[in-house]
Amino acid sequence: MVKAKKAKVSNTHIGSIPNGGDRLSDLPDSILHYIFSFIDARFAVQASVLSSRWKHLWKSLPYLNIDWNTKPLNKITAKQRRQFAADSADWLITRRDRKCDIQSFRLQSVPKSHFHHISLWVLTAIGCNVRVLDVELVRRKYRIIKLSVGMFSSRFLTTLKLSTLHICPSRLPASKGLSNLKVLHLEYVYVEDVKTITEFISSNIALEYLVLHNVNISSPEGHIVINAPKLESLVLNFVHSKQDDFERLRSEKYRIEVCAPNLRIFGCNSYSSREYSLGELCFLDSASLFMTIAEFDNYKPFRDLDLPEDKKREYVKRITGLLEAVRGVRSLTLGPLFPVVIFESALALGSLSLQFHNLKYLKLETWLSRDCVLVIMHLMSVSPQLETVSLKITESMNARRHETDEMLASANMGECFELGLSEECMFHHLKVLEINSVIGCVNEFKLLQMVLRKAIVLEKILIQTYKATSKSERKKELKCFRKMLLKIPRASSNVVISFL
Amino acid sequence: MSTKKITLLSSDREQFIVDEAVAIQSQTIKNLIEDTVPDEDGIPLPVVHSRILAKVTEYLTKHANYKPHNDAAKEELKNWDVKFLGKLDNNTLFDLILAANYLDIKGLLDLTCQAVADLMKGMSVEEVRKLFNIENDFTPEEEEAVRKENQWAFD
Repeated sequence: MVKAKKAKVSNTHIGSIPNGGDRLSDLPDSILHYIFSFIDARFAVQASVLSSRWKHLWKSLPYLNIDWNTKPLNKITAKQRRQFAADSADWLITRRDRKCDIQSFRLQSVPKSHFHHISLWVLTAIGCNVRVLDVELVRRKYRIIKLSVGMFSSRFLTTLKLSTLHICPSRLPASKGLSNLKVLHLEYVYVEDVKTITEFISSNIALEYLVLHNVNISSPEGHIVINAPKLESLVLNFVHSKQDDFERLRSEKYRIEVCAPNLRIFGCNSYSSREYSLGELCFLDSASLFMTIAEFDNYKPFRDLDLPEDKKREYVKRITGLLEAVRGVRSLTLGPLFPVVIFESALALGSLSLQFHNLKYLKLETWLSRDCVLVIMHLMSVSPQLETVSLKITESMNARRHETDEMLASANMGECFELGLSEECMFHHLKVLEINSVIGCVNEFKLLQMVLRKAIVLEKILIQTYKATSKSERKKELKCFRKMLLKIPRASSNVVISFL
Repeated sequence: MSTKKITLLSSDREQFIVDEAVAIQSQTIKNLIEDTVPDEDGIPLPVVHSRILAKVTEYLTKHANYKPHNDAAKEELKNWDVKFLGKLDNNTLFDLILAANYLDIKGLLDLTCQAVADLMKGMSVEEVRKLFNIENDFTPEEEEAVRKENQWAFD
């Protein structure tokens, strides 16, 4: 929070000043600095010619953002632009008042040609007690940047975000750590082995937020331990992009053990080849689980999924393990592929005696095949406190849907499947249901019908129709869908159905 | 959620009655509630005029109902912020910055400072001077000297 100099605000009441005048220049330095924190630091230097008020303002600027993509005022070539950004970083670092602490130092899209400057810039910022350090390199291949030891022992640093860097193991002093580091975000960072990452995390004892996004570990096996007693939020994203080596991915086997008893938020996007053990999570409030099988593209095989039995078993084991660990959450997001494998596998949902006693908000990224609808219904029936259900049908799923889904307008309702829920099962707390990309098919209708019949206190159904629906034929189908929907008997007397 | 009401008193003694949950989004007000015995008429904020306090409470009331889990609500809130900003003239915008700073409301300070930053972004020095009524007190020689000193930034 910016603290205003008292004299500036108290000599006149805020709001009683007559209009006009130079309100901007009248703001205290701290607020002007804060305004500059939202833009590239070079604007602060350019502003030095506005008037004498602005001449030296940039020298004490505590927020240094330099983005190599920012276009300067004059038209210059891309090469000039890169040089310009590097020169500005050099300039700001060397000419500013070193007695003024740096709050945040952000370098965005640093190109290869300036990698060798980074250590110097970072060290200078560390020397000015930088709190927030965010370094992002242009993403191509992993580059070996030798990060200085000084960087890993600053007691001022609270946030460290590194992207596309290679961390050398010898450069991480495991014993020291960053005593005040609360936020650590590593993205496309390359490390030699699991030990480096395990030790780095456990040496930073104050850690509250941790994001590991595609951290690339050169050894294909190992045991990663995330031991962080104060950790509140953990996001593990281990799904690599298509360019990565799939052969290698398939053979990767990591066991990831999380020891974070105070965790409130957990997000995981991973392959089923990785094993997780989360321990007791008493305070977990929200979880987001996406799991794919390394051999398959995320969305393609949703109808004709032809997985080998052992892969299916492994998948079910992993996802069940995760669901078991997060069963106490109030908010749960589940990614695609989940329902079809769960349902098709021998492990029938009934035998999965999982209950989500606290769940209030459920978001599913899914499509609406018959199996999916059954799984959605099952999840709703084992979550007695559920208030909001949000179904997101992604674009790539929709492309295939139209070929296979039976449209309501042409369907013979007599032959439709029945949803296997008992008569007594009612949804006592469900208030809101959101569905996007509705095309007007039988499965959608079945789902809505069931919800309308069983949700006693339902208030709202928000239906977003599929955007690309332009053909008049589709419009007719949707019209029919709408009409039939309005005829369904409702358990709640207070429902508003809105089409967006 | 607590439905306890809090009365805020502007510099021109106008009363604003809001839920406690609304008021304590301001760290300053929160501290005042905890540490002081309120005036009979309410919590006095003797440096904020009713014209601005009305805007501040409008912002706080909207943001107190924020539900982080709902995507549609998030979107709606964002649109509301844009509309809220759109209705402000420059003068009120600066008053809100000062009020947000004084009352310690991070969300409102971010919103308003970002708005000023967005106005400045990509503008030439002359355009910024004109937009904000900044009087150039440099002599042409002095201005040239400052430009020269920071030559690279103007190339």
